[in-house]
Amino acid sequence: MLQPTDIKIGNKEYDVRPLNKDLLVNGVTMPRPDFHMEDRLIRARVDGRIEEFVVTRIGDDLWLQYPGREYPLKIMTERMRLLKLAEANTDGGQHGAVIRAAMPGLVVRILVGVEQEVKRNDPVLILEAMKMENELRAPADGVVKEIRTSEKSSVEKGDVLIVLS
Amino acid sequence: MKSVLIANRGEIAVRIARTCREMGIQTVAVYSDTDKNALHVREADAAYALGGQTASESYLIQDRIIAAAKETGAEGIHPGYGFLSENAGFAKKVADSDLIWIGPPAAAIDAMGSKTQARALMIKAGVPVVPGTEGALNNAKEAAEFAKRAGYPVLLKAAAGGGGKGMRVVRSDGELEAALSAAQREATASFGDGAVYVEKYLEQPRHIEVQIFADSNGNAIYLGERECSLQRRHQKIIEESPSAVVTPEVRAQMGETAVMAAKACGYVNAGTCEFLLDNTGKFYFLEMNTRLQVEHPVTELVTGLDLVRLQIEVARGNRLPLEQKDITWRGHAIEVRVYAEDVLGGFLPSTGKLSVWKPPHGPALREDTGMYEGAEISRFYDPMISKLVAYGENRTAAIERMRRALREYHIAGLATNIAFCNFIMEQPLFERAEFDTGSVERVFAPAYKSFVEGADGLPDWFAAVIALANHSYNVHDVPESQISQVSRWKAVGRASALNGRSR
Repeated sequence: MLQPTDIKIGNKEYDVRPLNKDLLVNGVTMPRPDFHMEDRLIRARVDGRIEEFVVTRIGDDLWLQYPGREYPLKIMTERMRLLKLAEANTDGGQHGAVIRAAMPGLVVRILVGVEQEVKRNDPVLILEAMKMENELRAPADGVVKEIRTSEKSSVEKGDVLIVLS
Repeated sequence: MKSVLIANRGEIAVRIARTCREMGIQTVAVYSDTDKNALHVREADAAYALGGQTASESYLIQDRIIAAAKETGAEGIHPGYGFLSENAGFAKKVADSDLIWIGPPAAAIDAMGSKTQARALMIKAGVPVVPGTEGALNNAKEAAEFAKRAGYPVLLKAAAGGGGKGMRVVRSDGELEAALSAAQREATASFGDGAVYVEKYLEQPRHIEVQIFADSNGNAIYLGERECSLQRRHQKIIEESPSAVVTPEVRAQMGETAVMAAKACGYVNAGTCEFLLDNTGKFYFLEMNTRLQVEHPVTELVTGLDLVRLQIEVARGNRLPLEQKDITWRGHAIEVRVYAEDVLGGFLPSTGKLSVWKPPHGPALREDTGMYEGAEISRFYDPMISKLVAYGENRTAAIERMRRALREYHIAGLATNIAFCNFIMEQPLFERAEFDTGSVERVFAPAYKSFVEGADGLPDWFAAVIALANHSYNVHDVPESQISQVSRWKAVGRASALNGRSR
């Protein structure tokens, strides 16, 4: 059974919920569209024609790609919303800023030490990917609390490299 | 020459193999462990494992490549672009091993491959160059002295370099030291040569390059220009031929200058002279690339020539089959380099599996690729997915065709620059050809960011389909990698066979 689902495409929000055999989208009834999904390519029959689009995950984000365009996409089902609420209630701790690897690569140089004070935009680490060196900068003022990587180590996209407090 | 070893990977290895096949020449592919399932390995007549993962553990090991040629009975080596293509030492080793090098002689690579030497040679030949230091820098102080004379901004460049690696724009004394050591490190890592020089950084120039060809009988011709101003991170993303701003007079001047440059260094085979064109129509020699360029297809489409075929004929010692007066240009070609990258995240490379890949088809399109659906884009190599080229009878027709092609293109599993390139194709500034080498980062990328952020929604049925798809397939919860491992299509097909229609 389809759960009530909040969807956001670009800047537009949609509330989708089942209504007997039909759907209710933002309060308006529509018949359930026919579609199939091949991997992440979706083909839907709309007013007799076939529309194709792709829903893909890039890092933590979902994107909808529709002929020559891409739109940020958010999907939140009732269950996910409840889970998130529960998480928020148990996780009340104060977190400092973290610096994550924006791409997979090799740590060339760490420019700061533990307990060093940094200002927003100070370069803190050099990450090499595809032979290009990329400077990662502090997202906020703070003190280096923890360094979770070392020079010459390989890191994956999203890995926490440095924790600030 | 009946058999050629292709010392490269990806789309260029596939592209070279295709012409070889057309000419009845056997091909030998080489591959790293990372590439054991790559398309170039499938497309060749024979394949040789180099081992290793990174380029320096595989495609850059000269002796192993020569040994591969010897073991497989290849008579010639085509280096493609990048890797060993502009390595004079390797070209010499190949020739000394009684193999045919499909490229310029080592001496010409030496003369032109080092940007500092090439500049000196061009100054002597009377070709205009951008002001800069004559030789490699010993320290940041020398760069500071040059900057004092020429004025900031200045550009640090790897003497052996290309492709934006080992390159840094510096706008003040304070940035110089850190930028120089970063450029030197990158240059050493990419080219095995840390020499870096400095030149005046021209603001808002266009990057125009001229394709030349020379044979070993002293003939040299030019095949017109390519407009390559649209770049990000100093790497080209959109190229076209002809350039909308180059007049027939400037074309002939640039062409003759490029031919003069080629003759000055005893050049043989395919080469490219890169020029910067300022807004007054004045051009400066930038550097010569002593290899086939990534963007050579646009020249092939407007001249009707196969540059790889010409390279092989010239390497065989044959005369160029054409003289300058035989070269004619017809129509317009645009190339988009489709990259796995996160445009909105600062053009950072995106890695992963090409889980959906449906390239466009139809009239006057060409796609050069080393990929296939299900292929992995690893962090070890350049994240280019393909080169999509559209031809039209004029620039407008080529732009319209490219827009159509980009709208047909479906990729999932990775971030790509397809929607961004389509956005550029739709911009009036692009239509009017009003851009320079800084336009992507200064104008198009910020405009695209606001465009995406300000996007209106889509019709309600999209939301309905997505909610249903998420319900059946868990679009949100299942990581990309798991979706691609099992064919969920099959699973659902089975379920719907059991339950009637799947909703």
